[in-house]
Order: sequence, then structure tokens, then C-alpha cells
Amino acid sequence: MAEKFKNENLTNASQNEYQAEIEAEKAEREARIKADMEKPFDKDALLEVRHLRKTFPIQKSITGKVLKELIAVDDASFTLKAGETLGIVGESGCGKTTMGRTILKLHPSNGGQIIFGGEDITNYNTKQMRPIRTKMQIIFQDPYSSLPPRSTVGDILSEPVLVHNIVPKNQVKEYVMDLMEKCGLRDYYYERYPHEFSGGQRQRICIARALSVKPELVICDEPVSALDVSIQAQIINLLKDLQKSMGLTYLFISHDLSVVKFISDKIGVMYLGSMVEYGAKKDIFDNPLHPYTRALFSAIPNPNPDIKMNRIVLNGDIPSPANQPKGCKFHTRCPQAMEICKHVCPKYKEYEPGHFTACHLFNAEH
Amino acid sequence: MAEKHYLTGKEIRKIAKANKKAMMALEKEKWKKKPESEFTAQMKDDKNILEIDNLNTYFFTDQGVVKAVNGVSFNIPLHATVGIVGESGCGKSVTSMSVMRLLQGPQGQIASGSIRFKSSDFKRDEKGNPIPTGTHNLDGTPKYYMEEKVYDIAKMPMNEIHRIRGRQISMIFQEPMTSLNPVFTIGNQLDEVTFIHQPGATKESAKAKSLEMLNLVGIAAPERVYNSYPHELSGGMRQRVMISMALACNPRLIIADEPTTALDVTIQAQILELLRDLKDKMDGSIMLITHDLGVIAEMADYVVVMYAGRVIEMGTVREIFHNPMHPYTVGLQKSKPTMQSDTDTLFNIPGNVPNPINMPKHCFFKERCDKCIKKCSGEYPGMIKVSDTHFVACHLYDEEEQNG
Repeated sequence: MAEKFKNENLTNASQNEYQAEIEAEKAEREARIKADMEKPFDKDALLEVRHLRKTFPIQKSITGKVLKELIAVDDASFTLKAGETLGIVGESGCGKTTMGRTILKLHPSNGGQIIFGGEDITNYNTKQMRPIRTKMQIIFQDPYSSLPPRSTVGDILSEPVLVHNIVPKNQVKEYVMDLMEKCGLRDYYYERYPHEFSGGQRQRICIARALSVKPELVICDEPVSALDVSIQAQIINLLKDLQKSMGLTYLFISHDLSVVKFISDKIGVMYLGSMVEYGAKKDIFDNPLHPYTRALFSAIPNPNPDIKMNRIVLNGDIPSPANQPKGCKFHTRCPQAMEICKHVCPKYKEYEPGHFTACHLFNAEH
Repeated sequence: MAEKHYLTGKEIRKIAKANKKAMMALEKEKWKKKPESEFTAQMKDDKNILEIDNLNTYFFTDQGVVKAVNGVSFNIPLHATVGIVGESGCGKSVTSMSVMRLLQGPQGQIASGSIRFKSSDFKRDEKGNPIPTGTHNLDGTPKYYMEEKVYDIAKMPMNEIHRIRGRQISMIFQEPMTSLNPVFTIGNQLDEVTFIHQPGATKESAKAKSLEMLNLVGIAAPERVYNSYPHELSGGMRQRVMISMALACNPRLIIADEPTTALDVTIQAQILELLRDLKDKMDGSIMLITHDLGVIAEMADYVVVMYAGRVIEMGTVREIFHNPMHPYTVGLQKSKPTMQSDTDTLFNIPGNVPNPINMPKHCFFKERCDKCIKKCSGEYPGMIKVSDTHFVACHLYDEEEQNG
């Protein structure tokens, strides 16, 4: 008992100097979240996400109380205007896919708000979601496992049209044929099965399926990472053309920074469930602020043998989201970590108009 | 219907019957015991460690013969890194599997060609046992007489291949998640390499070697990793273990088959840094297989570009990146968005990689090429020499040479 008491004292002593700051930061964050939640909805925005949080229970007591949880998405906020593309980048396991799925309400969220087209859909049930489903669609990562093997391409594409009554029944085939042409699929593919196609063509079918219900928002969850380079370029160009012709809004999730740079207007960088930097493409690429963003940029191999880059190599691996480090989540790998980073969570604030970051380096300067 | 896209049962049975005959003949040949003189050869150039000459590797399937590697020739010089690029299905992995003789039998067979490898093997007596010198290494294992010999791996019988595989040529596989055995500890698997390839190794010397290897690849707590199971490690750590396993016997050639494809960018940077570092430390060559042009540009000295089972262009890394000649190489480089470029639409190569069964006689890239000329409908273009190190297989440059 005495020993335990002694240990507690020790940890208290080492944390004392930061204790006040930790509490101040906590109070400030709670106040900010509360204030943000009560703000009126942004009228220009198609999608507004405020302080989204998603956790998964990994240990429960007998009574069903959650003892330990995995924080997949922690305090992610952004707004997306119609016709824009937001690119989300991050390493595997940083919660980018979970965020996309939570926005679609494929997972229930554990906090925050999702506002789509001026409606707060956070607490909508399945029935209420149904008319909204046609407006938001998803393209999955792996085209090999996201198509039903026993249905023909025609069936796959016409089913959502029939379910949601997009066009009258007698015009469905015509509509699907038109859609297939738009997505670069030949008309005789209508009768074929998914296994007869290559990866690129399957991804085209997935895109056509997502677009068949005339959505406004399409969440692209790593649509090109399973494809070859020459096919990747085809699919990216197709997505860009479709955006222009149909006025789509994309939430583009990818781990490939060069692809994200090519397609996005805005970029959000995620690390361990949190948004560490968010802003317009130009701001992020010309002036990356967060050390993680900088390291991520310098890690991309350059296809020019004469340029030798000054690479920032991060040590170690991304920590487990079930056991996140205290203070700044990135301090275990950060080359510029300071003492304060180990204890106090940095504030997520606007560094320049529209450019947000969460890092102590920039808190000190202001 | 535009074209028939299926085979009838009758046709499949006919193909399968013909294939089985050819396949079994090759399989029998593979296991036949031969005297050593039949699989020793001479290197064409003494500066090379590996010479692949007109290699043909076929897969005999029920749909027809897939010519996965179709007349591939290239050399790997001593102490150099040769990068092989191409899309999936272009035969780059099958080439490496042929060098390791790890093809899935009996369907996968080396049909013809030769792979000459300069090996440094133990000197053996009549019974095939290594001859000890009588002295000992620092760790107490006996030393043996060594001799340099050139073997033709493609003709080597399977029961002799262990002389080379694992000890002189080793491989880093693409998927660190699936290439380690989940039921044995890392230490157990690393020690096994030493036990198999180093005669006279003891438990202590094997463990010391394994820990040394783990240290070499930058693992901070080798003792802890030595005692852990693969599932306890992250992807980057497992890949480091795979690399340490490949390096355990000081191989002369390391084949790295997409070593970073399954990893995140930040981890990829770590692993590439490590490979570059190790290349300077050890005295060997690397054959790096990847589809990422950026990785190639950073790592390789020489580049071989493959398409549909054939080499279409090869040269030094500067020649390939600054002066690409084959329309496919040009297209591949233009179709990759880079951090530096600021374009509105990406260049794209239309169409798909052709079906590997029943390849046409003419250039395989003809259907997707935007610079097609009349000659392209004729024979498959031969290798045209541009400079001493730069070769390209395209009719465009054929013409130029004749005109000029």
C-alpha cells in the first residue's frame, strides 16, 4: 500500500508542472466542442462534419459496460462544398476508412455531428436514412471483393435504380446502358459476370454502380490503390471527368499523396484518428506545418534519379489505436518533439485562414 | 457479342491433354539426377554475377499455355542493383521465381533458356561432403575450402539446388505478413537458416548469428524480437526480420520481390534506407522487383522494363528516366502523378495488358501504343542497341537506324 502511494506521488510530481495546462486544455476543448455544436449549419456546405468521434469497444464487463475502447476517429472536423474534392491521407490504421464509413452512417458515430445538405443526420435511423442514401454513395477499395459474383453487370447496375425508383421501369435498361458508356464500359458487357473482367474494368463497374442513383457526394475509399499504374491513371481521369460532367463532390481517401495531390482541392492529414492538418491543397503542399505532414511528403520516392532528397525518416511504427500515447499522439515518432508534447494535447487551431493544424510548435509562436 | 470469351468443355479437355504431356516431360527432367558437368557453364562476361539468357517460363493451364516469361535476357553485374519494373502479370516475379527455382510445379516449368550464376560453393569430396580446412571461425564453427564455379540454374536438378538457394541467392518476399511461419518464434526461424546452410553450426553460434543479423537490420531489442512470434510484430518489423533472414548467409545475390509494396510510405522510407545501407555494408548484388518507378529511381543502378513477359527496354537508371525510348516506358512515367508535377489531366495508356494466352506474333504493345507504324503489324521487334548499356525493343528506332 505504502509503495503504491509512493508511486502515485512520483507520477504526480513529474506531471505537476503540466497539470494545470492539461486541465486548461481539456476544459478549453470541451467548451470549444460545445460552442461548435450549437453553431448554425453552413449553408454553402454539402457536407459538414463537426468533432466526429468513433470508438469500438474491445473489452466489456459482464454487465456490458465498456472497459477498454479503441479510438478510431477522434475529433475530426471539416466542411465540404458542392463540387469540391477533399483528400484524406494517412497511414494504414489511422482511421480514414472508418471516418468515411461513419459519415455514410455504415457505422453509428459516438459523438459529433454529421450535417449533410443542411440536415443533421447524426441520429437518423435506417428508415430516415433511406432517401438520403441515394445522395451519398461509396466506391470501395478492392474491386475484386466488392462485386457480387453471381450477378451480371446489367443486374448489378440496374438493382439500385429499381430499388430507389430513379427512372421509370421501362427506361431502366436504356439508363444503365447510358451510364455504362459514361464510365467507359462497352455495351456488350451488360450480360457478363464480374469474374470476366480485369481490375480496372471492375473498378469502372463499381463507379457506375455508385453513380447509378445520381448521388451528390461520393466517398472514394482508396479506389486506385489495388490497380496498376497505367490503369490508375485511367480511373483517376475518369473520376475527374465524371466530377465535371455530373457535378459530383468527392471525399477521396488514399494513402498515396501524389494521387491525392492530383485530384483534391482540400486536403486533410490524419494520424491515429485525429486530423493533424487540414487546409487547401496549395497551403498544405507549399507550406506543410505539422512535422508528420512534412515527414509524409519527404517519404515519397522521387522518380528522378538525379535528385537526392533530404529525407526525414520517422523512427518506429504507428502506435496501436487501442493504446494511444498521452499528450500529442505523434510525440513518439516526432523529430521535433519537446517536453510539453509528452503531456499536453496540442490545440487544433487555425494557423492561417483555412489552414488548421494541431502542434505545439505553432502554439508557441502565436 | 463482339468476340467469343469462353472455351467449351471439349476444347478445354483437348488443351489439357496436350499440356499434360509436355508438362510431365519437363517435370521428369527437373528431378532427374545428373553429373555435375551437365549443369556447369561459362560466364559470358566475368563482371556479371548472374546472366539470364533467353529464358522461357511457361505455365501449362487448362485454358492454354501461359508464356509468363517469354525470351527474357539480362545481366546482373557484381555489386550492382538491378531494378525490374512492370505492371502486374508482366512476368517480373516469375523471372525471380525461375532464378530461385521456386515455380509452382508441375504447372510452372522453365521450358528453355539458361540462368548462369557465379557461385562460391564448398569444395566437396566424392561423396559430396564439404572438405574442412582444419581451422575454425571466431564462433567455433569449422572452416571449409571454397571454390568458384559457374552453374546453370535452369538445368540444375532439384536435389542440387539447395547449394545455391538460400545461401548464395536469397529472397525477400513481398508479403511480410504471410511469409513468416506463425507457429514458430522468430528466433527459431532465423536459427534454422544457419543450421541448414552452415555445416557444423551449434545452437549457440546460430543464436549469436541471428541476434547479430537482427541488430544489423536496425531492430532495437533483438533479444525480445528473437523470442517473439510473428503476430506480435508490426509489418515494418516483420519485413526487417525477413531481410535479416535473407542476409543470414551473406548471399551474393539478393532478390527483393516488391519489398515495400505492402508497407506504408513512412515505413517504406525506413526499409529503403535500410536496404541502401546494407548494400554498402555487404558485398553483393540486389535484384529489385517493383512497380513503383520512384523506388527504382532511388535504389537501382540498372533498370529492366518488362511488358507481357518480355523485356522491352533496359539501360542504366539515368538512361531510362531521362531518355526513355519505348512508348510504354514513356507512358508509364507520364501516367504516374508526382509530387512535383502540376497537371490537369493525367496521360493514360488506353486499354489493358493483353491476355497472356495465345499472344499475337506482332509487338504485344501494338493495341495500346499511340506511335504505331506500319511495321508494327509484322514480326516482334528485336532488341535494338542505343548505347552500350541501353537497349530497346521497338520498331520506331529500327526505322531511324536504317534512315540515318
